[in-house]
Amino acid sequence: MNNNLFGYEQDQGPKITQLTELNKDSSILNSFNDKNNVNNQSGTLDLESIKNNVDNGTKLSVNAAKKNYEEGHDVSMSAYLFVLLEFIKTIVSDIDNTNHSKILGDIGHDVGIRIYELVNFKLLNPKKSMSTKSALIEKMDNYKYIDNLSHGSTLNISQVPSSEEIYSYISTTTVELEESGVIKNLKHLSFITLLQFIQDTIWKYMFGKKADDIQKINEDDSSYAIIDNDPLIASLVLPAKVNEFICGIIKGVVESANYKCESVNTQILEDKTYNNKSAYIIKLQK
Amino acid sequence: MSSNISSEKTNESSTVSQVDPDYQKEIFLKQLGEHVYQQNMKKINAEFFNVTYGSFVRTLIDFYDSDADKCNEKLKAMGESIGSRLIDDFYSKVTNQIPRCSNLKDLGNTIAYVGFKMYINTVPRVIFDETNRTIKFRFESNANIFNKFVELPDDIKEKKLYYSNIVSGIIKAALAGIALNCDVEFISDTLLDDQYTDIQISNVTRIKDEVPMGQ
Repeated sequence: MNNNLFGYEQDQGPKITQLTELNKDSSILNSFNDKNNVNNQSGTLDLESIKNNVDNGTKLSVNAAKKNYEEGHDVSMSAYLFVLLEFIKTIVSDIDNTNHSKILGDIGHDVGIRIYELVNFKLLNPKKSMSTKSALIEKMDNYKYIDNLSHGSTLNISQVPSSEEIYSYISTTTVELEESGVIKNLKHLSFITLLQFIQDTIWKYMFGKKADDIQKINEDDSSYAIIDNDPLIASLVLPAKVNEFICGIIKGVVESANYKCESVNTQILEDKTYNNKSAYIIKLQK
Repeated sequence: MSSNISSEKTNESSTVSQVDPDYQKEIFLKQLGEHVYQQNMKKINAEFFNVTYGSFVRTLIDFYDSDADKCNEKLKAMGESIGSRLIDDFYSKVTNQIPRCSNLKDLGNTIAYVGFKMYINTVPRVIFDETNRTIKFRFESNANIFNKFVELPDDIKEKKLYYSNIVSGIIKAALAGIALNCDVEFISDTLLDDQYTDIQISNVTRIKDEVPMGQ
């Protein structure tokens, strides 16, 4: 078994993918402008019908996604626990690697990234308000329909909006977002607001309740702890293993919010009333 | 007296309930599933469930070097070990309210309206084929809760990985828990660009109680 099998490596950090610059690639532009190319000749392809099809398809899928988002499903917890226990069992029994906690952490990291993105998306798109489009935004939307490939024309660079227009477009949209109070939720300027965000919003999103406490451990602002008296999914199934999975989730959230996280550890605290009172300790890089 | 009462009863039933008794049973099962899900089950966010399942399946695919057949088998085996425990959980939560299944159609309706509703909170359409004696559970395009947010890469699509194959294993082992032998398969999946997601149950036979040899 290779070490590189699981897409994310805790030691190396996330992989970086590099964007290719299409516009500067001369061969692509040449193939676009070549009139002898079969794909560029008018009449060989019914481009308009294809375009209509694609447009309808995207509209349908967008509507379906919207419907899905508005419904807000829930499932039973026993189904979740069955699946979680079974997967943990197969990982521990099938993969002959002594470092199972790292694998569980990596899986949790994947979950954490996606959950951070999802929650932020939901904060950005509240269900009620649909902001009205200004004239400038409509103009920007129309740019992508202007390049008329069906008449065999070349890709016209002058149709691309100028930098001033782009700047004004960006500035107007951000103003609208600020009015709806979204910008505040997106940026976590200090680590404590991010901790509160995890304790409040993300735990409520995942488990339907808040985490009970946040604590600062060192005085040099490097390590913090989130404390949960009765962790929902760890209360029934293998508390130590599931806590490692939750640690991975927290690490994913912290890293996708642009904080450098050294490690997240877990510990089960002794308590008279709660059996599984557990602390998730986050260590930041200095 | 007794004969009078019985005759009255039959008269009432013939006049009032001209509705198909099968249809009545279906409605009762639907209400039962809804009731049990609302009253007896703890709940958790579906998207969280979905994301967790997805990242575990991705790990599994990586572990088997994107060999779809092995992944399908493994998912089914995991489903079987879930199902053998799930059937106990099912009966402990439904208690005594559930009616007995007298034929195949009842079996399909019970699994769809109570079983699927209780655990993943979606109800598939049940298609019963009398000539081949098969039951199909059909999920419309986006109804299958496992498939939300998911897109399969092309090479795995060609090898036919059934992403939510764990469900077929669960159904098979759960039915084995109540002494029914059967084959459960995925026929189509919306993730493989089919129109619906279909799960088929076929060859249902009863396991007979046999005395062990030598007694």
